[in-house]
Amino acid sequence: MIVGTYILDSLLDTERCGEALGAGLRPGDIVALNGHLGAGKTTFARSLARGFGITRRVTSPTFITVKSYVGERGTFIHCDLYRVDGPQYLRDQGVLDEVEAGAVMVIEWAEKANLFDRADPLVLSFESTSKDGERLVRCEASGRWSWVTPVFERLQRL
Amino acid sequence: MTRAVDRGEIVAVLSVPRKISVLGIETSCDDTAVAVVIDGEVRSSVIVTQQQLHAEFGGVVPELASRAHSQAMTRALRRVLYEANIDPLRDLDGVAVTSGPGLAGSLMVGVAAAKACSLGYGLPLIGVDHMEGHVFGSALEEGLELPALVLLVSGGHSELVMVDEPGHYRFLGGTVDDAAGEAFDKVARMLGLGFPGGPEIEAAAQGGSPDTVAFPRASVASDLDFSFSGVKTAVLRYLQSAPDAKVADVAASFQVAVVDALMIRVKRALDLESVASFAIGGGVAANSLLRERTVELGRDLNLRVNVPSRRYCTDNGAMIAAAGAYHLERGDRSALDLGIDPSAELMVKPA
Repeated sequence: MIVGTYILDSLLDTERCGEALGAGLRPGDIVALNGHLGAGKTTFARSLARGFGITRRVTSPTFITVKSYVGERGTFIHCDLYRVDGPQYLRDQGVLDEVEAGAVMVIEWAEKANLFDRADPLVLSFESTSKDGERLVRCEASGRWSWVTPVFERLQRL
Repeated sequence: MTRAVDRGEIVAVLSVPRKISVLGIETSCDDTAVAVVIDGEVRSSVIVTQQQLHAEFGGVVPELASRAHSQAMTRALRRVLYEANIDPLRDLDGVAVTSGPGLAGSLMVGVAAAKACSLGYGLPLIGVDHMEGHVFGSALEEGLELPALVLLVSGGHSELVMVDEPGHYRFLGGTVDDAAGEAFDKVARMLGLGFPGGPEIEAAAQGGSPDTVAFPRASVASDLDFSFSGVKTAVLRYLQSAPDAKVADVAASFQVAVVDALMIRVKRALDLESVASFAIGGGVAANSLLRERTVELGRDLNLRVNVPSRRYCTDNGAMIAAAGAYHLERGDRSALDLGIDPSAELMVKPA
């Protein structure tokens, strides 16, 4: 189990963090993003996609709930569960099958949708602070995700 | 200030083909919309809205939307054919349907209904891109003189498109994060207003001062791209710092910031492109301030502008029938195994 809270100083730091984590994602990985409106979930998801090697424009999935992108390293699925019942909806949309087949998935508003047991996601909860652009990120995941700790720690020293 | 714009020579006029009659079906989001277009004229149009259904959730709930489409579809079709007073077997030349982009479950209902009509009436089927539909929406009442710059703004999209010739779409810029309509929905939620956010914010802004807060007009790297995530966050921060702020003032300040951001990009695009006209389309094009600004722009630049009636800005079946008529006239057909494409893109977009 890994747990930690980190400060991302600026939008640039948030993007660096996302890109570094995106570069390390492996087939079947799920990243769950929590936080209120405007906390920076979509910005972070976009940099994850960039780090994962997606070259297409990644925009908010809120309207159609699920967007997927194909890059050299595989399929990147970006979901917004704000108004849906998570597991069943993702199952119905065929998204879970894709993840089981090796796609990576990032989910916004994951806390609204009680993720499934086998997901073993990296859970990141974003919070804005009184400083413009600064974000607090709480990171929680199983030991399988221990490689992300140094990514965050390195950014703390920058 | 009057400024001469580089007026392009009119290469073509995009309008609804005169000799083709089409049933159009649109279910990409939360409106079950069907229409009959006969010889280039909208003969009947029926829109069953689900707004009330989704209002309490502050946005469209996909599962509820597809179920409501299924419930409304048969009645909507019966009514639109009745109002058109036609015999579909004799008077129609085809069935057009939105095949994407949009919500998967909702799109499926429309496509299934279109296939049924195609089979039942023995009519050719044509799948249409929703965004191309919006382009035709701006050409339903008055032909669109090409080359045209079109601003397409809705809950799921914010794009600046050049229509160089009929069927030739060139992406100039678009949102790098949230769509304009999505920003309206999300800010409405922050302000405790209802759904959909566009009309709610417009109504709330009536009594407010747009100069209360200078929200960012969002400048991003590429000159013609939009970003609405920043203004959303700025509203949130403002509300945290000024909990007693008047909703009307914040709504008015936000609305003007979004419209300014859109118009700044439009003017930039007009500086770069040689156009014969400018048009707006999509649900956000129903916003009064954006419509006023568009008319002013046309006057200032001595440029022809198409500002479609509100009923042709928001989702409707007529625009799909019109786009379908265009394709059918060219000989395009979809097979009966036509699928849906929830993230269809009309134009290639750079990263």
